[in-house]
Formats: sequence, C-alpha cells, structure tokens
Amino acid sequence: MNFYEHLKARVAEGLKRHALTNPLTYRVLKTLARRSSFPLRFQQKLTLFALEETERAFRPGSNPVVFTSAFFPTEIVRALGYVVFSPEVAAALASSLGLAPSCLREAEGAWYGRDTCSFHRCAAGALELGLFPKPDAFCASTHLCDGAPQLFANLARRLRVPFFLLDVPQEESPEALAYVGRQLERLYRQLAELGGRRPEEEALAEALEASERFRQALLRIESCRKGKSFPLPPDFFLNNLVYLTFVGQGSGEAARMLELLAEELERLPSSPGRVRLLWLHLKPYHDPSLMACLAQRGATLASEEMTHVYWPELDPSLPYKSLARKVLSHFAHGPATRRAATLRRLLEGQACDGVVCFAHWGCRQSSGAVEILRECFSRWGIPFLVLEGDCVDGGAVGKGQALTRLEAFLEMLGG
Amino acid sequence: MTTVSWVCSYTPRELFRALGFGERRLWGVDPRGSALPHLAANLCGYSRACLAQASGEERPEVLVVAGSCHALIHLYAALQLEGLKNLFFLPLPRLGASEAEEFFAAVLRRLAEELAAVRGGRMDEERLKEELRVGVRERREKIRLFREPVSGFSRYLYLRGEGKDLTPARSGFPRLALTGSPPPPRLLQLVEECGGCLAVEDCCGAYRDLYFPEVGEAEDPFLTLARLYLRRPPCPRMVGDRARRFKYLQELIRDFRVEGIVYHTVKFCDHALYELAAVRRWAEKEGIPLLWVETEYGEPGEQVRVRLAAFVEMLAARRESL
Repeated sequence: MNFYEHLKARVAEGLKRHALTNPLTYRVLKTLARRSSFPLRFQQKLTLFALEETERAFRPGSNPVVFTSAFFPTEIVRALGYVVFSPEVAAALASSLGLAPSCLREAEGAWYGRDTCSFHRCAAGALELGLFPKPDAFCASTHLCDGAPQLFANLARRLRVPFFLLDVPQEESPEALAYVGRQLERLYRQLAELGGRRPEEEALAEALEASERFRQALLRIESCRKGKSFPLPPDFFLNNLVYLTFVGQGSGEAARMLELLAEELERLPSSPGRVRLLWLHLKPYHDPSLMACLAQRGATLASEEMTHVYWPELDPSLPYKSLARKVLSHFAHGPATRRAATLRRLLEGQACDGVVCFAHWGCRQSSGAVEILRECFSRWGIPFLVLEGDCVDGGAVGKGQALTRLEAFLEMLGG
Repeated sequence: MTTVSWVCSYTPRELFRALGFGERRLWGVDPRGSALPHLAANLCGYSRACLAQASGEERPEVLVVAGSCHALIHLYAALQLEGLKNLFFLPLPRLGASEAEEFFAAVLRRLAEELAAVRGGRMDEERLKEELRVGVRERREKIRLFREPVSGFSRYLYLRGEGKDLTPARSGFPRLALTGSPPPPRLLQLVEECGGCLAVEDCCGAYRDLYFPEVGEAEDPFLTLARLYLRRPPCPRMVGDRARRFKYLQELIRDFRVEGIVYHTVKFCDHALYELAAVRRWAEKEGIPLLWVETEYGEPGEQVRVRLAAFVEMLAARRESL
C-alpha cells in the first residue's frame, strides 16, 4: 500500500477531527513517508514538504498562518516566513479523502448555495467543522476568480481576522502595473505588521530569487515533457505541480524540489506511442475513473494550463514590479479569446493531439468560457472535448457520461 | 446623436455626455428563443440577456462593457466574436483605496480618448466638469423619490426610463429592502402584489445608483469622476469594501425603517451568491428577517410568489406581536 492509500484508509476508518488537526499526526505521517517507497525522490520530498507545512499550520504558537487563494503571489507571504495555507488545495485533498460530503453539507447550512464553487463550499465547511488550521489572515486576488475573494472576505469577517485583497484589473497596461505594484507594496507592509515583523526588502528579494529558480525549473520540466512521455500516471504533473504552483512560489525548498524533478525526468526513459492531451482546469478529485481511463488507453496529460510557465523572468531588485507583471501576465486573465490563443501556443509547443477541458461546474471564469474556447479551437481545427463535472462534489454530476465521452474522444485521436 | 450603451452602474455616464454622446444602459432582452452563442450555461441571466440584446436587432452603436465579474468579461469576448464594432472594455477596481481611484481615473482618461476617436473629436475637460455638476443635480432630484410614498415597482420602472407614472404606495404594509443582484422588474411587482411595501431598492438603477457622496472637485476631472463612482455605496462586487457595504446596509435599515430584507440573486451571480451568506449572518445578528429569492433574470416562478407571500405574512404577524 502506498503512502496516499495508507492515509485514505486511515481517514476511512474514522481518523477523527482532533487527529487530523493535531501536529503530532503529521509528525507520524512524516516518519511513514520517509519509510514509504515513491516512484520518484521528488514525490517523497514533496510529501514531506506538504506534511511539514501542514504540521506548521496546526502547531500552536507557530508563525502566522495565511490563507491564500490560488494565483495570489505567495512570495510576499513566504518572504515573511509565514505559513501559506491554500484552502482550495486542502478542499481537493478533503475530496480525495472522502471528507467533502460533510464539509459541503456544513457550508450549505451556512447558505453557500450549490451554484457556488465546490472548492469554496468545501473549504468553508471544513473551516466550520474545525478541519482546517486557524487562519491569522486571508489573502485573495481578484483576477481569476470572483468567488475566492468573496469567500475569504466572509470568513475573515466572521473570524475577525484581516482580509487582504489584491485587486488585479483585467488589462495589462502601465497603469495596471503601477496599481498592482503599489498594492503589493502596501500588502507586504501590512502582512509584516500582522506578525510584528519588519518588511525587509532583502527577504523579499530572496523570495523572488527562489521564485525565479522555481520558474526556471518549471521551464526545464516543460522542456523535458516536449514530445516525450514518461512511465508515470497520466495526471502525475497535474497532481504534483498544481500544489507547488499554488503554495510553493517564493520557497527555496519548493524550487529545490522542482530542480530535483527536472533532474529525475531528464534521466527517465520515455514511453512512446501515447495520445498526448492538453488538460484544462483541474480534475475530479473524488473520482479516479477519468484518469484510470486515460492510463488504460495509453493516453497522458502532456501539458496542463494550470502548471505551465506564462509569466516573465522575475527581477529580485524590483520585487513589486516583477510580481505585478507576473500577476497581470496570467494567460487566463481578461477575455477568454486571450486564453484560447495561449492554449493554442501551448498545444503546439508541447506537441499535443487534442484538448480536454474539465468544466468544473461552479467556475465562472474557466468553465464559463467553454463555448468561446470551443469556438476558437473549432476554427483552428484542433480536437476539443468538454467534460462537464465537479472537481470536489462527487454528488453533483453523473460520472458515466463523462467517461463515455472521454473514451470516444480518445478513440477519435487514435488511442 | 450616437448613443453609447453600457452594462454596469459603475460606468460613469458623465464621460459619454461630455463627449456629446447619448447614453443608455442595456438591461437585456429575454434570451429565450435566440440562438445565443458563446456563453456557457452556467453564466448569469443578465449577461445572457445583454448578449441577446447586443447581438440582436438592438445592436449598440458603441458599447462599453465593464469588467464587473467574469460573466461580463465573457460577454465582452462573446461580443468580440460577434464582430461588434466600437466595443470597449472598462476595467473596474474592486476596492475604494486611493490607488484604485488613481488607476480608475487613468483608465477613464484613456477610455475618453478612445471614445472621442469614434466621433473624431476630443474631450473637453471643462465640459466634463459641467457634466459632473449636472450628474450631481440629477441624482439629487431623483433620490427624492425614495422619500415619497410611491410604489417601489413604479419607481424602479421610472428610474430605468421604462415608465412615466408613479403610483402611490400602499400604506401600513411591512416595509422591505430589496438588495443583491439586479432584479427583473417583475420581481418588484410581485413583492408588492404579495403585500410588501418596497421601502428601498438597493440595486443597480435604483437607490444605490443615486446615493452618491459629496466629493470635492479635484483639479483632474477624471479623478473626481473616479472618486465619485468608487465612493458611492458599494455593491456586492466591491469585495474590498465589505465593511463599508455593511455600514451602508445598516443605514438603509435605519433610515427607511426596514422590517425585512429580500435578497435577490440572479442564478449563477457569484458576487451575490457569496455575499448572501455574509448578509444573512449579519441580518440574523441584527434581528432583521431575510428572505432569499432567486430568479434567472426573467419571470420569477410561482414558488417565488408563495415564498414572498409567506415572508410578508410572517413580517405582519411579527409587527403585531411587537
């Protein structure tokens, strides 16, 4: 039994809330992870990193725990040595461990309706149920999600902790760059005050250096994956890289891990003859059948929009401007036609055979754009499949239809 | 006269008037029956209704789409694909800080230049200053309607420019505030048919769109304009201004002697759907009954009527018991 299955089995047996929120549990799990076998050393390091971060989040009197939304520039939190906790990533984990139904029920009881994103509902419910650490602050950015800033504002108000908003306008202009840069400077100062720290420019420059190394390593990984497939599960990169891109940027350890992954990939033999897909958004975390189908058919995710490098080089001597540029350069920021153009370049660069868009029901930004994407890909003659579903809420949609459609798509692509 | 159409009440109309354009808000048309390409099924009814209107017979000559939410950002992309001419995007801040005001002022200046190019003219800043004064006077005049005993439904139609007659309000009925997403007019009519008295409509095109603060004239009229719009009562999308939003709601409850809140969400409107959870918690703490109703921005269903009637009845009974 691998490490993850072991953890899932313990939760299924009724690993209780006090155990899940006890730092000791994570110490024990770290020992277990050190003794478990992983296909790559990178995975073991990543597991230990995630467990260490979670232990820190639950450890009393630890550094301030800052809840960050996906795509918030975590460098300014990492620079202060604070714990970065992503409730959206934690919701995905809760879903894969079978904890989502009770969390979703709890959130619905607090009037988070079923049309809102289930990542957020699950996170709100998990926080109410005491499954998450106690946040000291919430940080959210507005550019890719209307829901996360709203949820964080609500939770911060309820828990009487600060809410920091990074307002990212929907355009890449000199005015927008200055506006986001000024906010980042203010947020760094305010976050430092939260933990009684000084907003050291040197620490921020170090975080940006680590983030740039992270970016360089991601580029190396992208280059390894170009035209080459690996004897790894189809969703290997989606599973492992999303977590790091959401919480690890600005951490030296996260950069080192990606460098290790790049080295390991460079040494791995390639496995030929697979259907190569570009995967959009995320995947259903409660149900492994789509990924099992891909594995069975010899298909793999050759690239994911969520994990590719879209932002330019960071300059540690200009931290706010660099981070502002990074945030504003997000490929899915602005009209969906811009996203479509980036995806086309990615598809061609990574030699993919087709695109699968997992349309997460509650996501207005991503799945709200599927018709526009469909139209663009159809004009370009690129095979494009939309799978409607829900990443976290297993009860929301039937899985049979998605599976049938995926099988038909793979067949069409020759898989 | 060329008319500029717009879709979000954070769009400063003074700018269009100063450039010599006419202006009108798009309220959308019933999207049922139109092919309605480009927009996914999980986007709100307002964006769909606007797409139906802008891509149908009422194609706007000039359209400014504000980036209020992801539905409207997708609406902009959809209209790009439709090949709509003279289509402009207006990025909107979501907080009221001074840096947001400066950014918004710069954006408005650029928009003015782009719009001026449509007519081959240029912006006269003195004229903009004058339009700012006219706007203040107009809002001051219209907001008086909320102090008069008129029906909320007729007031809403009047303010939207869709009705000329203001009918009297029925007295003695439970006083309600309507807030949340932009409501279809039929919802207001239904509230009144169910025996509710609309004391105040906190929504686009109504009170929230008129209760602007006094801001001193800055040297740069674009900065004045930005301040005016970003300091107005925040709507649910102004997530960076949540404390001010609750303070404003509190004032509404007090000033209009509100006995109950009807919180309306358009299906899939994230800003309202998330804010609802916070407003509901706040209302509970304040002891103000709240009813959540949802529409698809069209005809509210029979279920909405039944729930509204029960809510009003409960408020009447509550009043008697106090």
